[in-house]
Amino acid sequence: MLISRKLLNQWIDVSKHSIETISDKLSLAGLEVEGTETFALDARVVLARVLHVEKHPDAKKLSVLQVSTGENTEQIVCGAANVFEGALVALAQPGAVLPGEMTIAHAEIRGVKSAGMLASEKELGLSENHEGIMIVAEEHSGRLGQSIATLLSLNDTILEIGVTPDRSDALSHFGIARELSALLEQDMLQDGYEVEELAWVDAPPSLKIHASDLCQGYRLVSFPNYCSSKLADKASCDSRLLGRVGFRSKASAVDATNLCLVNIGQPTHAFDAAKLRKRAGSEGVSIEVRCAQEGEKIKTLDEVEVVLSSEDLVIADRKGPIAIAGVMGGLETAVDENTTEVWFEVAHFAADSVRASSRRHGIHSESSYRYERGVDPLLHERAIRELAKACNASQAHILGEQGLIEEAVSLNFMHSELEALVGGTSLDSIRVVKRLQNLGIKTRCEKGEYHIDPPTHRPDLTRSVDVMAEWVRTEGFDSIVGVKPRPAKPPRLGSRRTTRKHLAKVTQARGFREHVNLAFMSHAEAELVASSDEYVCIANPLGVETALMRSSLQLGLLKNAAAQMAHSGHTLRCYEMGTIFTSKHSENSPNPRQAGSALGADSYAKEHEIFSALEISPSGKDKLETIRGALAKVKLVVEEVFDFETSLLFEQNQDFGRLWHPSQSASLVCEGHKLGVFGVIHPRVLAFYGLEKYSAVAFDIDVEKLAELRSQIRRTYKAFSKFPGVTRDISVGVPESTRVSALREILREAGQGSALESIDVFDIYRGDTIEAGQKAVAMRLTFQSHAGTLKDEDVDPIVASALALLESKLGATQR
Amino acid sequence: MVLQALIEELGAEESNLIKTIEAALSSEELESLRVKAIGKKGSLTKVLRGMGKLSPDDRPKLGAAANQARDRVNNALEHAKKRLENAALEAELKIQLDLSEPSAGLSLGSSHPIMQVQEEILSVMDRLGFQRAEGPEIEHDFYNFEALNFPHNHPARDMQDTFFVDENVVLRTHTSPIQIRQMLAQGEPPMHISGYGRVYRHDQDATHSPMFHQIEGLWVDHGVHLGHLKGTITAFLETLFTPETGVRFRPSYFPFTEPSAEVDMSCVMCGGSGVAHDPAANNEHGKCKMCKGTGWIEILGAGMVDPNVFGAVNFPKDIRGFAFGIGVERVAMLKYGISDIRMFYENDHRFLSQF
Repeated sequence: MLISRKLLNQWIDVSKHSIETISDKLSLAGLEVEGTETFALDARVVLARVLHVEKHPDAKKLSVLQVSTGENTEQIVCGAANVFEGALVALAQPGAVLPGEMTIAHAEIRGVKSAGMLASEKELGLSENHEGIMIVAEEHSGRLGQSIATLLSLNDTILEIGVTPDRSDALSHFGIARELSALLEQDMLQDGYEVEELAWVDAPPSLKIHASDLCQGYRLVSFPNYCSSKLADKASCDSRLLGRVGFRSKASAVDATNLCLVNIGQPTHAFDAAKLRKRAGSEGVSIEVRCAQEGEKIKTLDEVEVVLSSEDLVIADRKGPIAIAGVMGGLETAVDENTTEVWFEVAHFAADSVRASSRRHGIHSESSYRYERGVDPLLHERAIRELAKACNASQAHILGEQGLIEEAVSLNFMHSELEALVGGTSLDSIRVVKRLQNLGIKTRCEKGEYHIDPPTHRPDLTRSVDVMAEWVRTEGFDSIVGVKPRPAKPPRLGSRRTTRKHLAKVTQARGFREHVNLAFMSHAEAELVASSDEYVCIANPLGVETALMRSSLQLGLLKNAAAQMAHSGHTLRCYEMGTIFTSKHSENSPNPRQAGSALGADSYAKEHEIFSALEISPSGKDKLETIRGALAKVKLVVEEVFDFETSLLFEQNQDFGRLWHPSQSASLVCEGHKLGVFGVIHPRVLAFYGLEKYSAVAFDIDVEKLAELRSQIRRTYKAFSKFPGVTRDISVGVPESTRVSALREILREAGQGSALESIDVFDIYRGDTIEAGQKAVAMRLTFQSHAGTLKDEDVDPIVASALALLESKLGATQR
Repeated sequence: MVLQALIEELGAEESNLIKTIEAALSSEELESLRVKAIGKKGSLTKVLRGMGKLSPDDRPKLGAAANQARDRVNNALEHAKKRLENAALEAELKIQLDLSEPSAGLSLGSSHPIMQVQEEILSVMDRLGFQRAEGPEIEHDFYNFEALNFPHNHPARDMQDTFFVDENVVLRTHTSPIQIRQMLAQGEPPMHISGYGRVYRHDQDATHSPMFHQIEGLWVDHGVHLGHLKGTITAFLETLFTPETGVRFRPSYFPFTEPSAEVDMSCVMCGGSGVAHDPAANNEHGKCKMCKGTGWIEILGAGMVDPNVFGAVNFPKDIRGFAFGIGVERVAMLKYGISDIRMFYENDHRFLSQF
């Protein structure tokens, strides 16, 4: 919210405080001053009178003027059409710097000297008006040569204050002045403006409130002899002020309502009385405050047709709604430049109702903003005075009445409670009472107990803790002594956390970098993962790219890779740890109030924590060879992840979903549990990201399941043999379709019960010296005994029988 | 006389051998000399074959002379071996290698800067006694708003632009629902929780991302007061940044705490002076760009847990607690001088490799 120091000065004299002091005071009391802007017109812009006008000898559109600043007469060249002899004008003298860093200097225009420039309102930063030079009102004629800034009191400082949603009382200059009064311990000013109330003589409208729970008071106010056009001079001053606090100036009646709003925070509305009479015809104007009928329509001031619901509160005449209560007025009855008679609405509407209507129709106005935060219901008299002031009126016709104001509940708390909250520091209860009273909170303290009557302008004070917080807020946190709480039990290290560390360690050691992606995906990306519709859709997404919650982390990694390949083209290794989402069917959506506790058990979507890693590299000449190489390297990482587990299986030919290559991927299976997928990314998926020329090997691991498995590991020391092992290298030729795991299984079988310790495949050869469609697999068998050194005769028969078994079962030929 | 002749022969052979040994240039040559000299068929051994011609009295004399000769030859061999070894070592030590040649092999991967900072913050909180906790990212309105004292239809809800899944289900807008779940699960005080994870807001620009990371502390126990809040947060920031970090509490408003405060810390760029040492870090008015010359930067939100929150989880009426929340991206941006939050999610390795 923007606060003008000049408007503020109407309510409290802060002239002796610097803007920094005021800003600090407010900021440290929770009304954060987010910025300040000073408007100061250069003092070398002075009032001058045009004495003589003659045509420029060498330019049709220019005039040469003789201008008096009282003491001196200067020659000025001017291009404005509205200049005339005798006019009072703003002369920017040489040296003056105008808004926008425009510096005025002595000039010569087409051979004629000019000692400065006559300025327009726009050039002075006063308004958008650039249709000619500024003409100053004749009443200032006695002050030639004086600075325009002083003369028209143009200088001002604007504070931008971030008002938190609880502080509706601070949404006006009056409210900020009240706050400063407490913070600076200085009284507010009395304005002393009086308005005489007259009977409504000329055909008063009828007025009825049908929904008194939603409208606690409604008044129509009319000022006699009010005619908007008569107020032009004051209007330009008001509109300048309004402009600086963020309001575009409109018809002067609207300016009056806006001035009332920024000054005291009471929203009001201006109806064109003639338009209301015309709609009513001979029956006379009848105004009602009622709920709308379902489907009733109104075209609002911003020219949008709104279809109303029966929950909207409206102001209506016989023909239908003329305003959505507290939100926005109707276009048909709005004031405009031809308006001669205005009826001002001064009312109070319930916060919930205004907020609901504002959200339902997506209309957010200055009025609804204040109503939904809570407007002081006791502001009507003051609002009428403010409107009268803005309209230069001293009399008013007033119709209607204020409804019943709910009395705030009295609060009380013990002095000791307040002391305990601030940490046991002893406080002076007299000071507490005084401080609260300065804030307009009626307070007394008896026998160590405070009795509080919260004022109507503070709807946020509903509990004793709120009032205690007021003490803390205004006293400041500096008064509180920081101490450490008594220590808690040392935190435990969960298995999930150690598993994440393990995954990060293993992959980082192999050069994988961690990525963090936004957890969204597009519909097109969703199609890449699976064809089901079990996605979590966002009802109000930021865009199509982020319409769904991601169901795979690989999508993000691939997208990153595509961007990366555009400038690097080298092998990229990356990983991400995060949540993937699938929707739960709504019938088992639990009620959170009954949920009692279970952490996450009553979640509203299936959330899985996944670890995904990806290696992507240019496919090269022999794509298959590239993929084989990549698979081997990435598989090593997978095996290191499962370092504790010797029974890790790579089960192929299963349904992995659309993301994976159907023939080059495997499930990671451990003790019957599927823990993830390892393999090649589907070429169609790569093509989607423009990565056709690349090969991608990846794996996904379910972090939760892995953590569970790891939590069961009990590492125990196993003695190793003191005797040297015996090794035998064998090489066999098998068809390409024979899996290495099958060779291993047969060797294991043959070595059953023997000292066979390990089988290491150390080479797989495909090439010229072997038949096409065949591969040669070289393996080293290691035999080891705990009992003694093995001899050749212990080992050779086993190797021979193993080779025989390989031949008979798999047709393997020894090489 | 035979003895004398044999001894002379021995001497001649010995000096001959020693001369050759001293001239040897390789260990192979030395080895063959050793065999030639003292092997079974060696030249010294050969001399001993004349033993038969000697009288029994002279035999031991020749034996002794032969032994002495063999020892001297052995010594010479030993000596020559050392000489050759030293020469080889000296030669090896003279070989210059260019260590400016590039390294080879895989370089280490890395944690994402956000995750590094998250871990750093959490480990500081570990030491302060907070217990790590997580929770679902898709939440019911009850956990994300209602139990945290954001009533339905309340303007406080506008403070957090929300992604909706349906009317009652949202992407959590903060980590505070973790507090609610933990308090409901444990059922009674004390609670010392550091909740952390991804959170979502309907917002996107250079300093706002629709997804970001938050960490918050919750400390609930009997007798907890504002002094504990202040002491803990001050210790937290001093540990996370530097012991000289200045900390300032500014009253503010959050629905789930009362009273509430925004916490500022002294600017990391100018150290709180408002003017940075490095002129490039100052704006056109000579003021520090990061803190706009105020010397302070907003770092976290905090407060005493609102009684309505305890009401929602059925905690005792007289219980008190404090809570604070911090944005991980914000800390990372301050720490590393990053001005555009989107850098974090582009995952460019030219960026990631810097952390």
